[in-house]
Amino acid sequence: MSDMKPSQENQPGADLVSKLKAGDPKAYQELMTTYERRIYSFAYGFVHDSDEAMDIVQETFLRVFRKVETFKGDSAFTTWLYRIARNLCIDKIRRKKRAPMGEFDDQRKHEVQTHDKPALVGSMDAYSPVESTLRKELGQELMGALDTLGERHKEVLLLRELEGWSYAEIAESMDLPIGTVMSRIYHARKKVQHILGHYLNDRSKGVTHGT
Amino acid sequence: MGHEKQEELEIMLSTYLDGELAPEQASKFEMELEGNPELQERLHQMSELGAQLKGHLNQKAEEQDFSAMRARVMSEVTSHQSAQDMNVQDSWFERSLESLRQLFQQPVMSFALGASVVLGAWFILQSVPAANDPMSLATGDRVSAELPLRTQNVPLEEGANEESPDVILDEIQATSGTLEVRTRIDDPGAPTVLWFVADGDAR
Repeated sequence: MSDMKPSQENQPGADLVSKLKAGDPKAYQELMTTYERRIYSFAYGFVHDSDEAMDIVQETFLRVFRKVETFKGDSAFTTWLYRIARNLCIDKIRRKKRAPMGEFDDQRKHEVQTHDKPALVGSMDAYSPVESTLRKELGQELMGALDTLGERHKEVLLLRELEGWSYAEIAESMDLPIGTVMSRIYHARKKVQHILGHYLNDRSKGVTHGT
Repeated sequence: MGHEKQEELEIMLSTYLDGELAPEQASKFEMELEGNPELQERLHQMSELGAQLKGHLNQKAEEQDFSAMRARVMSEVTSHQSAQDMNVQDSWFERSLESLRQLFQQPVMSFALGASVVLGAWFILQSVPAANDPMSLATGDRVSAELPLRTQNVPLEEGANEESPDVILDEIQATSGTLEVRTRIDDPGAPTVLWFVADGDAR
């Protein structure tokens, strides 16, 4: 399995990896430009907190800088990169779980107040107010549903839905049999679908929630 | 439909959605799907769920300003790069010193260095005039300078005269004329002898 070379999009070339190892600042600029949003989305899906997700993005790139010498190319660079991000996400979640509940609630409250406002940029402008509200609600519901998943199920779902990784790529990244990846994706989807069932059913019937 | 059959279908649905079914399995599943509106609806919902999740998370990323994060990362990268450049310079200097050290550990080079140091010191001593000696002469030197007349009290040895090659002086302070100082040809190790004083006296 370790001989596999995943074919994820925008896989950095050996040239970029060499430059990263040499500490070339331009290579780090290029790496961040390519991956910062993708790592952020992945991290946000895990921790559901904008500041924490940004911290994870930053720490991921810093760890690449500090550890890139140890990257031997046995796996794809992207696999290695997401493994760093995933470990940081899991670490954050575990720390959060250990933190007093009051602190956690404050964090979530702050998050909802400051970060879960309707997006006012890009594609959201293209939707009607009702549709935007619905999407916002659905987004919050989705995050809530994701939070009910265990770390392993959440990771496979995010790598599949967000990054579009193949089962083989996910299996390599997590060092799992492909059958286990398939099973986890199915169970993660089933759970999220169950939680969001009313939204999904209503959308199918053309019913909108919200104000 | 039994529970197991239903679960099997849903696993296939998820796998089919991801394009991970083998071609034969995919064809078989599509036939099943064709006559099953409920399954079609499940497929649609599953697909919609993935699209919504991706859209929501990407939207969150689009709202972010990454410039401060980039600056912090670049700060560490560039500071490390500067330190590395300094180390390269230091190591170049250290390598050069080490090369020289190894070179002069060889006996031949060590001897050459020692000889060079001795010769250099000798040349320096030769070229620097002795302090308070306006006319310090070495054997064989030729000096030509306009000086005030008279030497100072330098007595001739008894029995000698100014023409004698046996007049041996320990010191001469010429004040005028041209002095010529030689060693005796047959004895280069002999003390310096004043042979001739032109346009002045040696006394």
